[in-house]
Formats: sequence, structure tokens, C-alpha cells
Amino acid sequence: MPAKLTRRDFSERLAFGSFWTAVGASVVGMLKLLKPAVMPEASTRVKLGHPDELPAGTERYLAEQNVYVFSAGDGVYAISAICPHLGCIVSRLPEGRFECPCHGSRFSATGEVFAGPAPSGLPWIQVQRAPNGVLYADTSVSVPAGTRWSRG
Amino acid sequence: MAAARENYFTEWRSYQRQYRELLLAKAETEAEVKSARGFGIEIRQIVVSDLGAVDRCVTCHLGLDDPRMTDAPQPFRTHSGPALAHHEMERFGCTGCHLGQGRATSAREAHGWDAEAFWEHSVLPDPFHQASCGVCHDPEAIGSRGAPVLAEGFGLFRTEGCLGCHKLGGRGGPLGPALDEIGDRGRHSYSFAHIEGDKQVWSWHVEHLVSPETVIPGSKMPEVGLDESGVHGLVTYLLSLRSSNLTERMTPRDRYEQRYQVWHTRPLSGEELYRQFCFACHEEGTETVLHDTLGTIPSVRNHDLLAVVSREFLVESIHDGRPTTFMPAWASAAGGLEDGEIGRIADYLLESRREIRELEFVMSAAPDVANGERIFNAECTDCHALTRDGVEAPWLGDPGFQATYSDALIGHTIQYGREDTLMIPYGVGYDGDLTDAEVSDLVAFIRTMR
Amino acid sequence: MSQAFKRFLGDVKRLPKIFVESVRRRGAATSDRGRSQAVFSNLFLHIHSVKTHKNSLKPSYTLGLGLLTTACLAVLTVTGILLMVYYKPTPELAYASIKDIHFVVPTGRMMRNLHRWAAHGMVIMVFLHMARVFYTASYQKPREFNWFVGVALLALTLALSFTGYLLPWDQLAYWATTIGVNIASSPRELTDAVGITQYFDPGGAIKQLLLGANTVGAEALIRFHLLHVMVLPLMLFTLIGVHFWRIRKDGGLSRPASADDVPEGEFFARDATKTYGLMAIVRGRTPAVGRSPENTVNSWPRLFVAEMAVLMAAIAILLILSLTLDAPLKEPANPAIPENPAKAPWYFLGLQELVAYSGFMGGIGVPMITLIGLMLIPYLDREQRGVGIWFSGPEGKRVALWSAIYSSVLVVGLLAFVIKFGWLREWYPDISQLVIVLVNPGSVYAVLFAAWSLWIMRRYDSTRMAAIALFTCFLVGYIILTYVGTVHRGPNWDFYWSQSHWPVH
Repeated sequence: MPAKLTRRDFSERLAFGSFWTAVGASVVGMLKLLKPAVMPEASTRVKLGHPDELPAGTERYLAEQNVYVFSAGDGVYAISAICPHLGCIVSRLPEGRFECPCHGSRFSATGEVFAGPAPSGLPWIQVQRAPNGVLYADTSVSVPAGTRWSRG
Repeated sequence: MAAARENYFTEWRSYQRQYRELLLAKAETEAEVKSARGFGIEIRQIVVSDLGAVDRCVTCHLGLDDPRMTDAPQPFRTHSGPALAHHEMERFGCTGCHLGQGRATSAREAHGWDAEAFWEHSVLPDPFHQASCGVCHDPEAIGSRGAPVLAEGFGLFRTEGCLGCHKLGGRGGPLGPALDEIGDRGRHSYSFAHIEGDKQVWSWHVEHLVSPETVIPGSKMPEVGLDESGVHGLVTYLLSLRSSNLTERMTPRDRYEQRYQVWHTRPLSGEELYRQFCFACHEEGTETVLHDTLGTIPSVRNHDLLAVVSREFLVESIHDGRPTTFMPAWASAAGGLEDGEIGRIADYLLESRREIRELEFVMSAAPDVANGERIFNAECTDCHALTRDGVEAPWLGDPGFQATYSDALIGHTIQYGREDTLMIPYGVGYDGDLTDAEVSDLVAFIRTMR
Repeated sequence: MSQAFKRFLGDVKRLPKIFVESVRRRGAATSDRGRSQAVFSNLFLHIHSVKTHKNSLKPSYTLGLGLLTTACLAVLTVTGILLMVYYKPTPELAYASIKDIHFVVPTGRMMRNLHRWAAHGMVIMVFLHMARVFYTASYQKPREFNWFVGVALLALTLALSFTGYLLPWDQLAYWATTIGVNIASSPRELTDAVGITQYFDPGGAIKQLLLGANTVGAEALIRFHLLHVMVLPLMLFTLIGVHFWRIRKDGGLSRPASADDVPEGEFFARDATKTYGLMAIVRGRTPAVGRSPENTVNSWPRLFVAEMAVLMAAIAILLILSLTLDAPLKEPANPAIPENPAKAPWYFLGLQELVAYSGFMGGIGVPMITLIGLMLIPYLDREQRGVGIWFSGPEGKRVALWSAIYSSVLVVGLLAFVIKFGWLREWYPDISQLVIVLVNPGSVYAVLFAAWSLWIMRRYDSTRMAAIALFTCFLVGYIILTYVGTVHRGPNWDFYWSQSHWPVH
């Protein structure tokens, strides 16, 4: 047990304690300012079109969103072109694979990483059908690889 | 030292001193001598806030609007042609038309002709600078007013079928990249690994049009096969596809007229549409095109085909395309063609029809698919692959093919073949040995292909 | 005429003289007392003590590195403020304003070049200064905390240069920053691998804090600008104040014990009856200890002349560099097309080399271990051995040499192996990311360096020798990796013998 706590000691501690608590609370409040509540980027949702406009075999690159959209026999899926390593834009080779120019990560046609430093495959992007029948991709929502909007 | 370099030895200072001498030499009246004496050595610039241009070109190009300087050496010479009369420098600046780096104050960095200088847009040389006319003006109308190369290119663009693979303003095929604002793409957007000439955007386009596969290994684009003036024209037109922050009050009248025409368009004839959208792949359409990378392209104006298919067949085929081949869907939501336009293309194709034949083939009651498969493997696989990867002849599992070809039409085609194509007749009595029943088996098997 | 008016007239006449006297408050420094006054009566000079130890004036001891760092910082501050006059931190205007600074702002090009070269110079000098302080064991008691502050200053210097890199808003700036920020957010690589990102995401938080968005854009530019011209400089100057102040409070620059020896019979006689003032009652080592008159000289003018000579030399070199070599500026930033290769400033390329195997370990793990390790050195090596002597004597020299050889062989060997044969993912494509985060060239180097250092500790029975071994390994490794990243890496981060072999782009 330390020496007896005098009233003065107590009030000093109280003073310092409340001071540092106030400082701490203000710092937390100020840090809050730095975290944006809404992101300034353009909308992450992008219209892909009616499924009939995307016949099987269609491939599209949405340059603004950096997303590749593929239409296969059984459905429509989208793969992000942003390398999960350090954020460069991957390019698509003629044989369908992807390659990152920054550190040489290579991905299969379905986005799985098979070489280089990328910690994971290219993210798959959610493709959903809106009530009006039109397909939308949302680049802010990634889905497990292989998830696709399926026809029928 | 820095001060000395900046104050006495800059390139533009020496040009301005030369120009002052030139002015004094050319001065005839007292007033001219006086104004020549008053010529100050200073950075000159044109700021056009509407266009976001800060152009210091006039720091060295000093005699652009001085008619006495027509015989002066560059950079002092008078601006050639009538362009300046309609485009005052103060309102339009320099880089809006000529491109280049307006903020620079040295020739090397302003012009950007040196491949090492990091420039998005180098100053366009003759004749590609005509591209800039097309940014604001109707490329057709401006042809007779100073931009003939651009007008020639625009004409070729509409007859060589570029839109068959490339979209422009939402119309065109999906195979190649869209051409909207392609003129905005700077040098760093291109790979010059296979370019022999200057590492400049225009030489990239010229060499690419002459031999696409050399410039982009693996490119499926057909060679355009034009002479040099045609290629230059087409490149000029492509480079004119730039975005512009043109304000309404700067918009020339011909652009308004062109917009009016786009909105109240004179319907393009079937032939014009064919030239714009189909010609690049199908060419004249009277013979099968065997293309290295695009595979076998059917002759859509083949009279033997047209004799047995309906207008609806053609419309449906154009409308939905052949999804597993390079033939895209042309519906307004995809390729951007209106239903009426697709109908006129079909009508144009049907102009090559010589006769109408009724389909006589009738499927047998119970076709044997297994037998059909055996026959297919024996007779057809030389050309028609079992999977979509074959390119020798159309893949018969294509959903577009399956949707548009009736059983009778498939059977008929097997029996009669198609004249002037590689599809020879197989039916008994038509140089072949397949009976009606066997053809039925074959059709039944083809129906199972997916 | 009244007396007052006469006096007034006389004062008007002597006004300049009175003013100067009021500023200087003393006559010419002819006596020792005057020389002392010259220092302590001047706010700007009294950062120095009145007397300077002779050892501290030996150029071969300090090499003037700390001072050169300060000189670079002074140049950076002045040119930075001048550049701010014309620079506009928005994506639309930033690039054009740099163009204007280059082409039309009077002396703007010179100022920008100076700023660039001084920034490079400062980074080099900070590193060399650190190496000097380390190899002379100057971090040891009582200077532990000042070493700690110094490491923080190193981190701030690098942060300043990194934030400044984005400001021109050209392709290189944009993509180097994108990569840099993604490195900062790479703890996500670890949390992803463990599967806790959705609950605990420090990487994402750092990224949002830096960028104010998900991608580099207007928000990021203004934040980096603010950090570069305001927040980081304030922190830097505050810490530099502490750093300088601590130099004096810790008894001046370190020096070998022998430097304090006083020739026989010439003791500084301490009078038992004399009052020594405040200095005598301050506990611990005071600035006066070991400072008998025989070992010190008056700071004014000896030290100041030496300092000015170094400053002028530094500025002269920077001027010559700036006149001959322009700071680069590439095409404007284009978020759609990555720069290839997207290289950060050269002093980060060693890290970028490690990042090419694991973003987290190369970009966060190894650098953090290094920084924390650096900060802890004085607290873990508490031997008072060879302070003020280069390498603490011949034994340390040998250790340093062997460590350099060990490190070179190891780094070059493993690098060559990886370039030739690839790393884990190339052999086992399905390997867990966690394994790669833990086992990659960066962590392998760190572990092998630590092992070597422990072995040295056993062999020589000395933590100082172990520290020399470890520091040398890291320093040499850093230099080699930086060299490879700068010279031998081309498009796709592939290995090239020289830039002339890069494919035409």
C-alpha cells in the first residue's frame, strides 16, 4: 500500500487525470475529422446492360472502373483489373491471362494468381440484376471468385 | 550563373533579338521604326481560359499575324493559309489546333518531336494537323475549305467498314476498341516496340493501318490496303476524334448543321450501311473470305444462300449476330443499328438474289442421332469442328446459327451445298451419296451441338 | 532650442548606430569574455556552447555530416517556401503550375532543381550521419535518447520526401504514390491471410487516412501537400530542436575518453569556495564536464568559421548540380495507365525490391523491424566501449569488414537465386499467402542477419560487436538492394543489366 493519499494529492491527480482525458477525447475527435464519411469517387455502380445485350462470349473492359466483364454460356461475371498487390492496373494478354506491369504478378483468365507477389487473385466484382432487368456491377463489392449472375 | 543563363542565354531571347533586327530591317515608315524600337524582350503568351490553353508559342513565333513576314525565316514567318482570318489567335490560341506544349519556352519541349521529351501531344505535322479542323468542324464540309486530307479520310472511314469492329458514338462492332476520343490518347498510351518510324502517335497509326499485326502482335485487324494518301487521310480522321471543351459561342455553323443532320438524319441507304458496318469483314460479300485470324467469313450476298433464306432470316441474323464467332449482334442496344437500318441492310443483300426456291427437304419421322454423329465425324469434320474452337468453317453449335437455321434449311444446305462456296453438295442426286434419311440423322445430330 | 530637442536631433543622427547597438548589446569580440558573449547573448548562436571541444572540430571525426544535413534542410526550407508561392495543389492545376515554375517563373527552374537535389542530399546525409554516429558508438550513454530522436528524424525525412514525390502530379508521382500508399495499407495482406480483415483493418484505415479516398486523387493531393509543407516540417523542426538541445545537454559531441585527458600539471583548478552556479547543481553530466580550457577553444569564431565553410561548400555543390541537371517531370498523371516501371525515389527502391516478393513483409515488416531495431540499439548495447573511436577500435573494424562481406554475399546470392528461379509462388502456385508473408527474401535476410549478429556476440562476447555486425549487414544489404532496384529493374520489375536493354515502350 503506498503512502496515504492526501486530499491534495487526490485533487492533483484528479486535475491531471481530467486534463489528459480531455486531451485524449479531443484527439480522438480530431482524428475522426480525417476519416471521410463518404468517398469522393464517382459512383462505384456501373450499368452493364440487359442480359440480352451481353450474349455469351462477350468481353468488355470498363476503363473508367478498371473492370473486365465477361459473358459466358451460364452467366455474366466481372473481374477487377486492379492488382491486389499494390494497386497497379493489370493488362490482359491475348491468350486471356492477366499480367501486372509493376511487379510482374500473373493471373489466370479467371483471376487466380499463379506467379509473382500478389497476395491473392484478382477480385471478382458483384454483378446483380436490378428490378428493371438490367445488370449492374458494383466495384465496391467484391465476391468470392466464381460468383456470377447466372442466366435462367 | 543561373541568373545569367535565364536572363541572357535563353533560346527565346536570342530569337526575339533576331526578330527585332528583322523588324528594323523591314521598317519603312517612321511609325514602323518606332514600333520596332519599342519591341520588348519578354515572354509573350496567349491565355484562352475557355480552352484551358496557356500558349507561349508566340514568344518565338513572332510574326504570325504580320503580313510583312511571309518570306521571313522560321520561327518568324506569317501563319500560312486563311485559318488565322477566322480563328483569331487571342480567342483560339495555338495548341487548340496544333497541339504541343503551350507552356514550354524552348522549341524542343514545346514541339515535342523529340521522343525523349515527355509529351502527351506533339505538334501535329502536315498533313495530320488537318485533324484539328475536324474537332470543331464537320469533316466533310471542311474538305473544300482547307482540310482535304481530313475529308478524304472521313470518306474512307465510311466506306471501308471500320465500324464493323469499332464503335464510334455507340454504333459499331465490339471486336476492336472503341474509337471515341482516340485522338486524345497521347504518346504514352501506345507501344512503340514495333514502330520503325518516329515514335509519334501519327506514325504509330500509319504503320498500324498498313500492317496491324506487325504493330500489335496477335491483332485480328485486317490490313486496310490503302495507298499512302488514303492511309494519311484515315489517320488524320482518327486523330480528329478528340474531345473538345468547345463553348457554344465558339462552335462553327457547319458543326450545328452536322449535329442537325445527326438528329434528323437522312436515312442511310442499305448499301451505305453495308459499306460502313459490314465491308471490313465481308468485303463485297460475293465470295467467302478466308481470313488468317477471323476465320471463314461467309459470303452474305451469295445468290445461292439468298435463294433459300427469307428477309426475316437475314434481319434476325444481323440483329443477334453469331455470338461464338466474330459476327456481333447489331441490335440498337449492342451494335447500335436501328431496326429500320438492319432491314435496309437485309434489303440491300437481297438485291443480289436471283431466284426464290422453296425448301423441299423434309425431316424423317424418327431420325437417328447416333447415326448422324457417325456421318458427321466421317464427312463433315474436315471443315466443321465439333467444338467452337475450329475456324475452318462456321461452328454449327453457335446459338445464332441454331436459332435462325430451320431443320429444312440445314437439310437443304447439306443436300444441295452452296454454290460458289466451299460447301459442296452431299445429297443423293446432287453429286453426293447421303440419302434423305441420313441427312435427317445428320440434322438431328447438328441440333444436339451446343 | 530646448535641451530635449537637441538630444532628440543627436539621437536621430546616431539612429543607425543606436539600433545596431541595441541588437548586438556588446562591442567587438576581442576578449574571451567578448567571444563568449558573442555566443550566449545571441539567440541564434547560443544553440552552441561558448566553448567547443577540440575533438568536435576535427573534420575527420564528424565529417561535418550533421551540419550538411542541416544545410540541406535550410536550402529545402527556403526553396520550398519559394515554390509554394506558385504551386497549386489541385489535380487540374498542379502539373501546369510545375510547368510554369519550370518555364516562366523567374529562377523557378533553379529553385525546383535545388529543392530536388537538396532533398536527395539530405537523405544521403542523414544516412551517412547515422552511420557516423553509429560507428563511433556515439549512441551510447548518455546519448541514447538523442539517437532515438535521430532515428525519428530519419523517418520524418523519408516521409517528407515521399509526400513531396506526389506533388508534381505526373505519371511517376501518381503511380509511385499509389504503390507507396498500398504498401502502407499492406497490413491488410496479413489480416486477409488470417481472415480478420472485416473486423480489424489497420491497413485500410491507414490508406483512408492518407488518401481521404480509395484512390489517389484530389483529396490525396491536398493531404500530401498539407503533410509536406506543414505537418511533417513542424514535427521535423520540433524534433531537430530537441536533437540540438540534447547534444548540449548530453555534454556536446561524443569523443574518445582520451580526448578529455589533460596534460599533467595543468589541472583546471576548481576552487572549493567558488560558486559554480546552476550548472554545478544540475544532476548528472553537465556541459562543463571534461571541458577544461586546455581541451576547448572558444566557439566564436573558430566553430562558426568552420560551420560556414561547410554550409557554403554544401550550397555550392547543390548549385552546380541544379545548374546542370534538371529535376524530372513526366507526362501528367493518368489513373488508367500504370507507369511501367513505376519507381519510387531511389532511396525507397531497396524496399521496392523487397516488396516485389511480399508487400507486407517488404514494405512494412522489415522496415518497421529495422526502425525499431535502430531505436533500441542504445538500450540493448549498454557497453561503454570505444565511444568516440571509429568502429570502437581495430576489432570492430574487422567485424564490420566481415559483416559487409557476409551481407554482400548473402544479399547478392539470394537475389540472383530469386531472379533466376523465382520464389515460392512460382513453385507452389497454391501456397498460402501466410507462408509467403513469413518466408520471403526480406524476412530471410532479416533472420540471417540477426543470426550472424548473435554469432558475433558469442564469438567476441560483446554486444557492441554484435551491434556493429547487425548494423553493417543491414546497411550493406540496403545499399545493394537499392542499387539493384535503381539500376537493374525495368518494365514489369524484370531484371535487366542496364536501361539500354529495356524493351522499347
